[in-house]
Amino acid sequence: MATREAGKKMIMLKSPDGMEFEVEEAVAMESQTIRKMIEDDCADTAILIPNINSKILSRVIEYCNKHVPTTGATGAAASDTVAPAALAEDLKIWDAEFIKVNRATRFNLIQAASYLNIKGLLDLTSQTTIDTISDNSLEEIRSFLSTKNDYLPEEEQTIRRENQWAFQ
Amino acid sequence: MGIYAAVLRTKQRLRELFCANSQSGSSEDAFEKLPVDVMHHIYSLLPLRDAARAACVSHGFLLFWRCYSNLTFNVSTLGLARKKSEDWGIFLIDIVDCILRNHSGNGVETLDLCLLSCENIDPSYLDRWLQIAVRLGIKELKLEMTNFMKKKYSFPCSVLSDDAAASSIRSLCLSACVFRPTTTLGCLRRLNALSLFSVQITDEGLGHLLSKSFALQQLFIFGCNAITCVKIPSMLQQLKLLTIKLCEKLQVVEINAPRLSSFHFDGALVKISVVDPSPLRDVYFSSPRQSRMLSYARTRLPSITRNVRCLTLVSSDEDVNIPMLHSKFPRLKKLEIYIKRPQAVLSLISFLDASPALDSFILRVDANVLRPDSVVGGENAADDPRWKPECRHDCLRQVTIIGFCSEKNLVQFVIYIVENTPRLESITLDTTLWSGRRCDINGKSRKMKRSCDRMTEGCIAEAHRAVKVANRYIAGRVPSGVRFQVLEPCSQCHARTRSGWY
Repeated sequence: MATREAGKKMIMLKSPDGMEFEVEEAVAMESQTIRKMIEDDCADTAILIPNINSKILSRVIEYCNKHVPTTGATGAAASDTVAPAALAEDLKIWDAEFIKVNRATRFNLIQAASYLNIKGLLDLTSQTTIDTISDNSLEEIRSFLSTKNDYLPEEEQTIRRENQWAFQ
Repeated sequence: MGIYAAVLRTKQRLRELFCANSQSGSSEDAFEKLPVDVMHHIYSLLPLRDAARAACVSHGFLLFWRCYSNLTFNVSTLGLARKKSEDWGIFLIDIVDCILRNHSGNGVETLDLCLLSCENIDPSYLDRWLQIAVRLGIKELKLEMTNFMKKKYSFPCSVLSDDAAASSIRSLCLSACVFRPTTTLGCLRRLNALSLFSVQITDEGLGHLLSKSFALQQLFIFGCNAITCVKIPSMLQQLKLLTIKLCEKLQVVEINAPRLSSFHFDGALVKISVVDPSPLRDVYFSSPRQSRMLSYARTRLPSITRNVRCLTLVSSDEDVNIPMLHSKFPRLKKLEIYIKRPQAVLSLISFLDASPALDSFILRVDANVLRPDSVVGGENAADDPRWKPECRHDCLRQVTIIGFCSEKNLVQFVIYIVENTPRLESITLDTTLWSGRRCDINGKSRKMKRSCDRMTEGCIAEAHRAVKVANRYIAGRVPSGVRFQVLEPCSQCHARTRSGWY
């Protein structure tokens, strides 16, 4: 990969399946975990990101690219001309599109956001999961989350009685 | 530490539960494949009712429910709105008691009890709830009750004697109870917001409480009628905002906190002393009838408000003889005054004269009754003995008068400003009630669906008269280059209106 214009420091991220991603330092530093590594000088050559496969890592980088502040070093004029409110609205629409993925990808993204400590991405993916839990029946929640009912019938009855108010 | 061990045990138990589940062949994309911390994070974002229902999904979720962190209990979070309102209290107490008795007590960050729908609660319930939830990790504690409980319930200081709970709490809000802090109170080293509403607390008790709260940033004291003296010690280095409202017996306020920038006071006038140099930047004063507050403010405030930038005075009984004095508000930029009697307006010149740096002046007039003889008739504006043509307000640029009416002195006052303010940029005369325009003509608050306070026929007629008076006696005297605006009652809320622009 060719180094981009001078002045922008690039960082190499490696996924466990051997793919390498060259990203701008500012983009990589959207992740607090990576930021800490860079600040502690633990990122000379390439950073290995364990547990996150290349498919998910590329989506994470896509997210960070979109959300990195456009002011300062990256030099893009966008933030000067577009009102912040419009920019935020634009990002929201982009986020909504971004999160239209299947459940496995979403859970992988949650895990990646949590490990890499990217608050915005964790909030987005968590909220999407919460929306599937809110206002649905227990069976629907179990099926959405692919979670098994491990209650004995009488146990489930007891706990349902205890929380009866929440079903009314 | 018992609680850390309990949290670790809970996590261990969760791992076992979810591992057992995932090994017994649950699919690759199951929720329980997520790390326990992540699952817990997501669960903690669920609203109370959803969290309670999700507890019935599996054992793992039940464990999360037993250490659910945001215990905000009110009619809405418990979904009681659909029930008859007279039953709310009973249901609320039942549900809260059931949730808390079954809660592990671990992991609670917020306990917010809004018990305004409960007329009577057995104090032993309240004690039990607080003892269960107020532990290490608690960040926010809010107890809201009806005044009926004020004499019946004494807040158990013992829950805050434990250093673990005391040192984690960030925000404490108590209402309608007896509170007797003593020296046994734990060190509230992270407490940054403290609010006391109708709390029966003595000067000594408040002293003990403040002496343990050295990280405090905001202090709100409302209707605490046993307090006679509020002493803010200098050790409250972070305190920025102090609000004291309607404390009947209060006589003295002593401010020694070195960074207290905002001081809001509402009540009968008291003796106030402030550390030198005064850190106050923003001061709000409001007081009930018969207090001659504006005279008090003019004579007493300059000594404690040398650095104030923004001053708001809400008066309900004006003195027409506010003296012209030498004392100044040297750095005051923005002055807002509420008055009831437009006849008294000329005496406000004393405030303008005392504020050489003033940039913006807002006057709100609540004139419901006008004496017919005082309505402006066309005579010379300069017939008042207090007319001070030698005063010049060199920095003043923006003037707004809300509740503008055809009262003679008010018209004189506006003419005075127009003629003695060389840098004036804009003057707005708004004829709506003193509460002003609620439905924003620029559409900023359209979402909030507010409307202006209703004006009676008489008020609307007066508003139209005021517009005519403004055009006839004032418009011609406004220098060119000054934006002069006369606003009629809001057309959205009151028919038959239009806006006049000049």
